[in-house]
Amino acid sequence: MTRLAIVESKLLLRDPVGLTIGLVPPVLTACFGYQEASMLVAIAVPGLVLLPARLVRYWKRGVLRGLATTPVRPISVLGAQVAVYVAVAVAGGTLAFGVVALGVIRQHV
Amino acid sequence: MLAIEVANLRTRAGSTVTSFTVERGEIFGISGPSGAGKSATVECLAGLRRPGHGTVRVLGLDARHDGAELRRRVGIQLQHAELPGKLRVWEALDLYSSFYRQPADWRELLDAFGLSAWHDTPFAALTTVAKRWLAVALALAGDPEIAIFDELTAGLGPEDRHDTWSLVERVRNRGVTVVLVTRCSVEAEVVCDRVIAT
Repeated sequence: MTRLAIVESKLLLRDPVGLTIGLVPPVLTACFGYQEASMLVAIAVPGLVLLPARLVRYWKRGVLRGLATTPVRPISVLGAQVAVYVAVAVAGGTLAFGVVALGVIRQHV
Repeated sequence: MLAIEVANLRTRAGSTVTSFTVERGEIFGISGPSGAGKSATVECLAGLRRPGHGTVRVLGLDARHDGAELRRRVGIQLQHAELPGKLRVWEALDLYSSFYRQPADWRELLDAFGLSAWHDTPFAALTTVAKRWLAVALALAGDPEIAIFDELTAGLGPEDRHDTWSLVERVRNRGVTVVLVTRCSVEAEVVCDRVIAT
């Protein structure tokens, strides 16, 4: 499963669109002052958009069928995906929090 | 010694009934028109599908119950299975090897199947024939006793087809029993030791 997660992260880093969609919306939301909502966006975009889209693409193109021929367990495949997108959510949330914190500091200085 | 014993197999209600045996070290062909149930038959052999009716014994195991063990000991190249487009050839082999307890040396597979030149190429940029050869190498990643190839040469040009046939011969020379599914009866004649028509 570790190997799967490593490979998945590499694939994500090679796909700038996916990463942009994961990281930019929470930061923008925070920039516009919606602090709580930015955290929601940081979690929802990877969880509700990126992860299902990736799984559907894998299913459609037979990637999952290929994996099913090997001894790897389906739960490991899913687990690796979830791990990668949890990392994206944490990264997006951290960036958004950074923006919020920056705003707070500015108000007080 | 028998590698595969199939008796009265019916993959779904109403399909034809097949029985055959495959010896170890053989290249065995299953040929027939589209929709005859060839793919379904080999998916039963690899533990991917439960046989609807009849008995399927592979390497002494019952395909109905020992699917997990079969996935470890049987390698299969499927007709409609791709890889993520940005996955590189060496990464695919490295990943598939990591699924097995005693994998084959993937670097050796890379050389043996003419893929060294494609080492860093992403899957999407491979030619059709290179994709097929990669599928063969991936089927062998777990050092299987039986390798199943489903329509390995479909859509290939004559020259690539000949190269692929010699590749199948090389797989057998490694001591692997080969089951080859094909619609092309010429291919079955040329490559296989024995052929069953469905």
